[in-house]
Amino acid sequence: MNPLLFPLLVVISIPGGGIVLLLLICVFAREHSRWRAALPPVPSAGASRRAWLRRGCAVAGVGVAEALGFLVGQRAIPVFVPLGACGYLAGVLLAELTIPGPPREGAVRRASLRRRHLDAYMLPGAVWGWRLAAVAAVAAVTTVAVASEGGVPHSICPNILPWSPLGWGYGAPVLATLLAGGVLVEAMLRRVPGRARPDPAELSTEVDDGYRAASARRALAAGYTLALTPIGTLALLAAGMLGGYCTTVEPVWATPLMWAMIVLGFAAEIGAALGVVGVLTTPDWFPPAPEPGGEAWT
Amino acid sequence: VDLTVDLDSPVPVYEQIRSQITEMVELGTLSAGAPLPTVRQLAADLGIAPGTVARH
Repeated sequence: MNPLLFPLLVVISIPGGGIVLLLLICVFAREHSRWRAALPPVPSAGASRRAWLRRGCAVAGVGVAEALGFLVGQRAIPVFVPLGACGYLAGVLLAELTIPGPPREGAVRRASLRRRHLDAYMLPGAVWGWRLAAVAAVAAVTTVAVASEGGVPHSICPNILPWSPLGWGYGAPVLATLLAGGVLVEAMLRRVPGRARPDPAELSTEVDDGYRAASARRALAAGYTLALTPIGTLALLAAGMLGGYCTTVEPVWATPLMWAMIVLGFAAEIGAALGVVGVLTTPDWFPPAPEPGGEAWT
Repeated sequence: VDLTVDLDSPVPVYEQIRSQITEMVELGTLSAGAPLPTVRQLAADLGIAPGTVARH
């Protein structure tokens, strides 16, 4: 198959995932455009340049996967989404580095004594959810790679798809992208509160906090996509094996486990799709939270 | 609550930070036990080395 068709295959290879993704993108894009129309104007401060940097890096990540496709064929298909997410995360980090810092000329320096916490920019549960998903993904990919190198899945299902996620041929590149993406997400989560406060004359504190919240959300959304994609793929693959598609031996626990894997697989795929939607619909900045009794952003 | 340091002052920067925080606590501008920014955060905002902030 022509490697140029691999991205299409990535979408259609997810059972129902393509339809779910398109529906979610349509719904969220509509909601987002309505919400964005109500946002107050923001001083530019290079927001457009940073947006293009993020998009460019994401496209570069997919480009690397495409180049891999020409080198290793269909074995590159499982790394399209993780490499795209890694590229995007690198773009988010690079874009964050281009935000202007405080003025360095002059001998008198001023700083606020207000401590910046990540919790102020992102729900702490979301951060721990991402970490849990990342650890689960690394464990799942490693387990499948080790087990399938021992020939276990092939002994159950010899007719499995040629690009199926078996062995270190799948595990090594996916694991590498998971680890690289994990480092980038964690670096971003440190950078969000740690970045120096810019010159208030150039970027107000409210807008700067809004940029931080948007960056944290982008990093976590891409991180969720990165971690949940292999979990969904492997869970649905396991469901296929357990469903009798590949084996004539069917122990009593096979059917309940198969359904559990189907639910887990679809939930993970939908979560990954939601991560993409989150990446696409995160605004340039989040306005500050309204004062108690004030008008909330809806 | 803002902190200001003068790099050209004969008073060492870490001493300027220490004295201002002490004064803020004494005046009640900063409550005792209130969380301060991390060393790295304050150093980044002031554009000075983290070691200088840590000395206060």
